[in-house]
Amino acid sequence: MTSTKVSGRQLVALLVLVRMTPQTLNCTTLNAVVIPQIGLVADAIGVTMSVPLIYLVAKAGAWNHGDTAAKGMSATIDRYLAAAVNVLLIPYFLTAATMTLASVGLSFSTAIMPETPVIVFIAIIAFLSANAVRSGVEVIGRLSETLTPLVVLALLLIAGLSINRLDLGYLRPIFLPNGFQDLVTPSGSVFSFSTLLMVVYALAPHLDSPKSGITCSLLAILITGLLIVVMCIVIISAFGPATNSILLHAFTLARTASLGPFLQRFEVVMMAVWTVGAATSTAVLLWAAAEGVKSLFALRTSAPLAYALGMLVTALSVTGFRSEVDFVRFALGAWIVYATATAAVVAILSLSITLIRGRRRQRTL
Amino acid sequence: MITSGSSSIPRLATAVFFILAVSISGCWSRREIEDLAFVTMTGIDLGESGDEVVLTIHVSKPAAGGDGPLGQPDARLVATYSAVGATVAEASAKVADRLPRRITWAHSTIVAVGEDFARAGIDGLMDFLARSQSPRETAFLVLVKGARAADLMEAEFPSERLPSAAIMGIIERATHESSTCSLTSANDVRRQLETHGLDVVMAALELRPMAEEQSTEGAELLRDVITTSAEVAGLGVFRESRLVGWLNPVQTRGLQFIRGQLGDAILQATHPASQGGSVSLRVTQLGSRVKMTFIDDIPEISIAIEVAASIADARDAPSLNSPEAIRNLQHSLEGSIRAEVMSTVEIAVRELQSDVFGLGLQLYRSNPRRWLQLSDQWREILRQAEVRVEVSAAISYSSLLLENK
Repeated sequence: MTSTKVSGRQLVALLVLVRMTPQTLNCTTLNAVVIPQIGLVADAIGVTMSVPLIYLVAKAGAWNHGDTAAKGMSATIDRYLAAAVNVLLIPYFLTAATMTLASVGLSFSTAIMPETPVIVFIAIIAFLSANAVRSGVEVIGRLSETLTPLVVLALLLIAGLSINRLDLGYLRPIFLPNGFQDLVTPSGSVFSFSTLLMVVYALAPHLDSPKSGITCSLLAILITGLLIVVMCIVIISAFGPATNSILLHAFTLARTASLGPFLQRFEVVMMAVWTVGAATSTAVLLWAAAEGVKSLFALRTSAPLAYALGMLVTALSVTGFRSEVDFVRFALGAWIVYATATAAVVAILSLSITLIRGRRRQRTL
Repeated sequence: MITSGSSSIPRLATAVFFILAVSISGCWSRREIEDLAFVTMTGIDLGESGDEVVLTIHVSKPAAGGDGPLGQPDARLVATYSAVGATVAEASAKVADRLPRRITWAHSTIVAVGEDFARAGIDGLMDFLARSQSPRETAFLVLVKGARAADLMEAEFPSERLPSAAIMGIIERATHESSTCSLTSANDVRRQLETHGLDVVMAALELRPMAEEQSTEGAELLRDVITTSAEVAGLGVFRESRLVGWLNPVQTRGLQFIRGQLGDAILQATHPASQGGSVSLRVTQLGSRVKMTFIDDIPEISIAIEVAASIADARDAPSLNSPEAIRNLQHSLEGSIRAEVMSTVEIAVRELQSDVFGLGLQLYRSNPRRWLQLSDQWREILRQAEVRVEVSAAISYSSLLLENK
């Protein structure tokens, strides 16, 4: 089938994969908590905060349906507003892609193949992603539709196989030793990664049903929220107070998982999840950045940008982060500020676009 | 997949992909099975200077394991290597210098810890296990009571050729069938070390001499004369990361009664109608509840245990069919369990000042702010605690025999 549009199911799959990939790599939120149980509250706050943002972004994106953003921007004010959204989102998507690549490269290097240079993993995954970008979003959508259920299944499998090692007592007590300030960074971390779902702004014009973007985005938030909470519960129950000192939580959990005494080493499953998740997620983010550039400069196609952007994020990933510690520091510092600020401005712009175009539509009717 | 256009980019991309695939596909980290030395058991001791670590490993000798013409039924299945270093990692690097193959820890199911090392603190060992890629979080930690881990690694077991498998089997059986030990994985220990108000306990073995004669020439390689074996010695008790004492097997069972984690267990009770007669009872069900109340910052601990048991056997035993005989037997069993539990409390809380029951954790979970106030003096507070143990036993049935005639 060669549909040129992304179906609602594919959109949900794409969004779930984009949001869950950082969670399967380095769940930095759990490194930011004073006591691990706070992570659950932070998850709830961060995910809830993302709902209005993604709703607004999806709605603003839906106005561009059936047209490229460039063509759709025939009016004056919203034309500039939509261009401003693109200006903000292009570097944001490239930063997110850089982080995804760096995180997967460092994870492979730290956890499994320390002798192999990080650039090997990053270059291969970036290359695969750039290739997918050239093929178009519908190909990435079909890929996600197939892979996302497998990724979710793999995560649930690892959680299920760790069940004998869980002590749910470690979920208590939920209290804030230093008051509400203990929640700021962890909640900010969850929210900052939830802002990745802003990719729906670029995806919305390519949906086969314009209104499905909003519903599917909210469904994706619900699914990822549930998955994040389940993973958080399992990880805290498995590692207790040691949770916030561990890197690569899902991978470490997979190391403890076993089916009886005869089937172990489920970290191989995590390697597959990393590769699939990072490649698809990077592809979506690169594609969104390329689409943004296309809209901004009224280009005919974004395909030629794929390899150039791939090379750019590869270079940034390799040079930007020397170790997992660097990555965690960035993810819990500058990234939270940058993602939150971008999200805030994009939310305001999206609201403005929605209001302006809504009023115009009413006038037209 | 590249679908667009007739440009040379797809062909170039494909070429680049194949070049990358051949040249950079993880060859740096390759592991060929014939180049690996599989560690089956690890031992950690304190060096003579007290600052150094002695690492001893068992490396599997697959060729010795076959039963066919090439097999060596009397040969040890493992070769032993040892080295000294400032840290576990350094000692590991020195051991590696003596091995023709690359060390892989993933099959080291047992990590034995010598008493001296454990008394000095296990932080360094736990750090090594947590940081390294190869060791498994599921490896079990075992203390060697009154000896060095290296001594345990010289021990042999008549019914099992692979020492690590034998040790694992012994601890598993003791945990599940007599409740005189407890399996503690590296992850369990790490989790407990970082838990507020809970001290670590770790499975303990002690060496058992098997024969009078010393090992003959070649005994290092052959197991024809087994001089030393090992048996369960209960649990080692820690205060933070340092070993401070021991619970013997009976006290270990007392701990499992309090935690409500008893596996199978046989307890002795006095026969109600026979002087010197003894009845063995098998515990079939257990419920336990620990409550802590505070009176002027001094805790009052109430341990309520409910057990159901059946008669396993009775020596010199007249009829146990009368309700009165069963009632007397229940009282005897209750007294026996209460004595075990009190013995555990006395040694752990009063003598060793270790909170192996997790009473501090219980307080932390129910009232974290109070725990933060009391945590610094918790051991002293706990030592002064008043402990009450209530046991309620029900002997439900007499197994397959109605009456002993």
